[in-house]
Amino acid sequence: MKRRTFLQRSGLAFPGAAAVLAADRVEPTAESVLITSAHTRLAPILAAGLGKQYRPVLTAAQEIRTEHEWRRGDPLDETTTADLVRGIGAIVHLAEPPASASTAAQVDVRTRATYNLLQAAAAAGVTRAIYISSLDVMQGHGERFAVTEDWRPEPTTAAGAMSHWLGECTCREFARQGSISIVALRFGRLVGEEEAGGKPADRPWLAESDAVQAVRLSLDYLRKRTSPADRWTVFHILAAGCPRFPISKAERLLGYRPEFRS
Amino acid sequence: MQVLLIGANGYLGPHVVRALSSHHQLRITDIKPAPEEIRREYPGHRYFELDVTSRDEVLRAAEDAEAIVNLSVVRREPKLAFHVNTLGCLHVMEAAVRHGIRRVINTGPHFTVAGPTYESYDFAIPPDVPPHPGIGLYPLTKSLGQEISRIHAEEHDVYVQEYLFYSLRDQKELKPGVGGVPFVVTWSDAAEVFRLGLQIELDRLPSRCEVFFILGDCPQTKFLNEKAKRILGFHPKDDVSVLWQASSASSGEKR
Repeated sequence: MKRRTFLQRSGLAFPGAAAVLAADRVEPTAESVLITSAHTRLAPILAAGLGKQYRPVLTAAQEIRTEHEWRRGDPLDETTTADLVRGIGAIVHLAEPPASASTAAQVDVRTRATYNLLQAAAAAGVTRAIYISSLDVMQGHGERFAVTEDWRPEPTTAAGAMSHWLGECTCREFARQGSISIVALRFGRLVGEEEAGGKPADRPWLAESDAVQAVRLSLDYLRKRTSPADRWTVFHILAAGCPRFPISKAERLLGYRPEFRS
Repeated sequence: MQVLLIGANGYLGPHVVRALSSHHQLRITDIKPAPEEIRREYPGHRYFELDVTSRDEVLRAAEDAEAIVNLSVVRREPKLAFHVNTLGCLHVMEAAVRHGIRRVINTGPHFTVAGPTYESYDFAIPPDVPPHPGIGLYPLTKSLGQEISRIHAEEHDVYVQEYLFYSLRDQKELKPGVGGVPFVVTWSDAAEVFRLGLQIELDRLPSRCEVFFILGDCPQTKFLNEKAKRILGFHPKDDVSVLWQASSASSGEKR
């Protein structure tokens, strides 16, 4: 019986076993990238997309089925965050609350969990993080404008918009303090590959494969940009051709080339 | 005016009760029951327990109120600090919107806006700077709560005043040469500003969300109280400058 099969049948899905499973495919020296909110659709897609270049480590409060390494923990519980970030090179923080979470719960996840995670990261010497935010934080600007990253965020009181913005505020203070450099990616509405083709480009949507590209490019960006002025950077990430949210900054600084266009 | 006071049994609360009790009908609430001496001294008001982390409790307590004064605070315990300082503001604003309450006063420390990247570097710091609270638990959670209040005020007909403090002293502590941080106000002067904030006509506020530094006339001019004076009519009665008075023994008599 192979080692992988034995561990799976034994139900030994503890972090050490997952690392064993993952070790066969990834260079031992590949940098570990922690990806939070493993319960989301996007997290395993990101793990798969980053797997050739990095060693993805998913986090989940409950046991998950995955071929990637995973660590049990919840950033809402500050007693688990030190273990989550141990040995990690960079963090991709989705900060996604459970479906149908209340406004207060969404704010709690995107602020307190983010705070706990970044506190632990800073203490552990992790110097790079990506925060997945949303273009909803720019909702308050009129639709007739072409809104870029230089515009002041104007979230409404809608739970998603407001909580994403508060998460950005939390991240920004850690970046300002200096111990960790952070890229905030404001995603358009995520769509799966099967939906992406043929979608009109006048709405701020984002194909999952392009989301993976943006994260990968942001990890490279964070590795190269080390001056204090680069500690906090925001990019709008969506399909090309949406007049309301130009992507020229991401194209220019990340080399972002979305596969899906109008 | 029917005024809901949240967190009224803390350090500042009893002083605020004293300042407001003869002017307004108060709902004096806190997570802990009010001390007997306060109930005896200020009868005729409603006293009950209220947990600001409970949305339902805040909604019920705010029914038919005309103003909310939020004095609640947690400084050190991580989960509770977020739930009181950040989510507490969310509950207060949701209650204000639900019940048509147009006047909310929040409180916090000076570094809700002026954290280390201002305080360590600058002088003449006004309250209207872009918030840089830093990553300290207390200032960051208060700053997030303030941002929640601002977002709600932009969308709804609610006027939020944010009063920020640093060091509060008894009048008898104002002794020459004692020193202290350059942001001091006495308890009684601090409490008086709440009376002013409940009295001001809302259309005299420049916008629906205004931040004020509440301090006496500190001679260092590190932080500015000009806005509170100009808009609220705040005129501190107690001279805090005595704290930094040089003593005659150190006035350079040696030659």
